[in-house]
Amino acid sequence: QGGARRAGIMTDVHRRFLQLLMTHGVLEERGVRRLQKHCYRVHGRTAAVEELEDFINNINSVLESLYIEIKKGATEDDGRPVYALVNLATTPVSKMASDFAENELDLFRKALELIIDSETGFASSTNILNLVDQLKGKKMRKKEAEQVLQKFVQNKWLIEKEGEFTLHSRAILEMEQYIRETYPDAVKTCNICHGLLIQGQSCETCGIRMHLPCVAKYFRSAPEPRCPHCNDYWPHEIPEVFNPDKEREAGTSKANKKPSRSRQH
Amino acid sequence: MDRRNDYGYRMLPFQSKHLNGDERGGDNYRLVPWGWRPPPPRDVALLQERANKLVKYLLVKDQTKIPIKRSDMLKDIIKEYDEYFPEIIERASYALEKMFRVNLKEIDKQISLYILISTQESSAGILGTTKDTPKLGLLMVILSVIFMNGNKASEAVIWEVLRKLGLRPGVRHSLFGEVRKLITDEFVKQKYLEYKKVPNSRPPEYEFFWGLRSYHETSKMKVLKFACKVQKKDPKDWAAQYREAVEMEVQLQLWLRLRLKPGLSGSNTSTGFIGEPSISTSFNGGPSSIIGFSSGPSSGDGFGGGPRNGAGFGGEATSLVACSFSYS
Repeated sequence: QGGARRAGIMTDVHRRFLQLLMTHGVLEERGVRRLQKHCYRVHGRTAAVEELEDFINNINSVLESLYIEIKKGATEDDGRPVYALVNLATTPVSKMASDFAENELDLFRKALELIIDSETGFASSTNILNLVDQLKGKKMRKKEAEQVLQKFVQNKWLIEKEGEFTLHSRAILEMEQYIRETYPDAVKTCNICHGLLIQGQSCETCGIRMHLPCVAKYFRSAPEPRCPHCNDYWPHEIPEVFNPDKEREAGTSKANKKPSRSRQH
Repeated sequence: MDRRNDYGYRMLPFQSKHLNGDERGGDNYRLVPWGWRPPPPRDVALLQERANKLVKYLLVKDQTKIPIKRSDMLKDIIKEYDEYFPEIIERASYALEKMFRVNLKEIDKQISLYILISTQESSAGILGTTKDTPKLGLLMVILSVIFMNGNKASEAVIWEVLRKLGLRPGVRHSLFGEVRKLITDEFVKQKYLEYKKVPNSRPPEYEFFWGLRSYHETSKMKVLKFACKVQKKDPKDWAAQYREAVEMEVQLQLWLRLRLKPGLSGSNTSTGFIGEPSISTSFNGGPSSIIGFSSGPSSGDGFGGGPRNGAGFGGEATSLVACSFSYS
């Protein structure tokens, strides 16, 4: 990976950007652009703001030797572009973050396995907590485990919806490679983009799966949506393609949209 | 389990410059432990690879803000290359500075503890709050109380202030958890505060001081401005504190200028353990930096420019409650 990438020039503008991105862990594209503008402004650079993609590639070429990079992905529920700094070297979950104890990391691992094995991409709080006795390391009570799960949500590794947990886009960006290699049989992929799939829609006839944003793009303005694999009718509601401009106008957050978790299978 | 080891190592331009010792001010002398020999050329790639791993390790470990032990570095990353530790850590320092503008500082020579400090002015809060913002807001309040009180404050005084914010010892708070544990244990471990027993006090009484990290991550001027904002006063009204804060700013400017002067930048500061000002100097108002890596205490706008609804700082300390609570 990487090929012969020319080592870029990193200025204080880029360094500040990198530091701030690391502080937040993961950022939506809108926030990333604001961040970039802010960094230029702080350093008094009146030069034209570099195109975001080039800006990021520049930073990535310098970070290459550390096997980390700023990666772009999208949220699984509505396709918002997000960016995160991820580790490219394959590391087991135990190295994921050091502010978690051994039993906390094992709890995450258990939740991760339940999420991957589930049909919907969600694991219920009850099912996760029932595994508390099997954790490695210090004994953890269920009450404690609930708080640990909240810590994961705060740190943007998990998302909680109505008492169920799924992976945050940050976790998917960071751990996709690890997940594919550790759970090669259980892992699901999208028929369109071939990326790792946790939440999505599936064809009831042939079983192929697609991300919600991939469904939106593929069936955009299609009068009669049909499965790309077996050509049977696609039985689910087709979501809308994410439009950042529309959102800015409306001035509302995604909490306002129709239920974004689709248990559609 | 770094699966990329086989890929061979690519030398980036600035690294070869480093090897030539140009950064050392033309004098190639450096402190070499007895019995240590430089690695043969072909091993340099391995050392660099180890240094790169150490960089990532330090960045992750620093997130907790708890100082990193040298023994942990040796156990988790350096492993069989322990005799090359000085060179590896120097390379890691260099990369941290070059890529992230972060300084690796040894804060305790006896037990070899290190922290990372950002060397650029913080932009914390530009994109709103992070999960750490409330705690750092609280820390800012405590730091300002300590400073305005003459650089130390008894536990009683601190609790008086916290009570005004609606915080009580032994009562679990939704954002801060058990507040007493946070300020006497967590902040102390992270080196933001010091919590010391007043000598000869019976029953035992305790005092709070600024911790080493606070000196590095914020400045007395910033804290003074924060305190003044809360009280709606001009910093100059607090003459003694203002003088002290100005003095520290002057020292800081001098220190920064010295650091950036060619020939002195190399080993003196990037590794942080050769000729650095010792801990005692910092406590006497020695040089400090004004920034916060990741989410350190930021400028006097308090709470890192948090809530955008302009819930400002009224004259009453209780308005800070509104700011803190709006995060939930």
